[in-house]
Amino acid sequence: MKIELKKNGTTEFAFVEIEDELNLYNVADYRTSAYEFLDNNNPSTVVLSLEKVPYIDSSGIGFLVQFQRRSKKAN
Amino acid sequence: MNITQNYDSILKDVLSGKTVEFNITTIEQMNLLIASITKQFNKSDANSILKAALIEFILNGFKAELKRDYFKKNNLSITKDYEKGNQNFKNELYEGRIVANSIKELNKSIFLKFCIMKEYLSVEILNPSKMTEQESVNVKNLMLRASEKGGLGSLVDTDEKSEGAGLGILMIFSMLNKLSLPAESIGFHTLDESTLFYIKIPMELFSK
Repeated sequence: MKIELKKNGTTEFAFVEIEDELNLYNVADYRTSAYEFLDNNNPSTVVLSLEKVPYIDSSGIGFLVQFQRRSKKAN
Repeated sequence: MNITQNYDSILKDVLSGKTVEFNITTIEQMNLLIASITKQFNKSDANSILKAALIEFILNGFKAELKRDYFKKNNLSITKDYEKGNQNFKNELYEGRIVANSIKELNKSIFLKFCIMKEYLSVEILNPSKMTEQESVNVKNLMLRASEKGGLGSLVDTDEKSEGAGLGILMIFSMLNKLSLPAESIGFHTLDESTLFYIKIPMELFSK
């Protein structure tokens, strides 16, 4: 997972790109990285790219739902 | 059939009209089965739903067996201590301390049966443990709500559901909706000592 702060004009946002399956076996790692980034950077906007994700299972969907909630809380 | 079974030949047998039954005990076997299905049906509408259903139901089976083992190791009753034990188990899974990639060491396996019934591909996935009353109620309620409200969409903006709480079933309902298949295409039965999940997919979808 790539995660970085980017700028669009004066607006700063977090850009998260996942390039592998999002499944039961890797969500714990993604969660740790993503939450740590949110806690440290507190971005006002998060852009998530799933273009390169070949498959998402229910654990992956659960992670996305939780990540959305966590991102909202970070603001 | 044993662990070295050839899933390509299994699918060929099914498509030629045979009923094929086999067991799965590890994630590696599941991945080989999924790879064969993808190779066989890659460009069909039915590939995604069959693949998703197999992954969700097989992994649910793995988790159910590992959960029972967790209760046993922690001297918890699967009925009396269900809520507390289930939450602890989910936390262990969430944190990655329990990895649901095999039930071989528990001497358990998930039983699968593939056959063509009239114009449908019928797949049955049997978990070797009976659901508890609470688990059965949870799954029935999920399926009822999902069939009424169309799967995942209705839950994404609520605080109600999160990872490990039946999202797999909701995901499959969403896919059924997208293909205009009836909610009755999937279901489950609680048997004396086991739990049977099933999915029926019209054969015509494998050629679309």
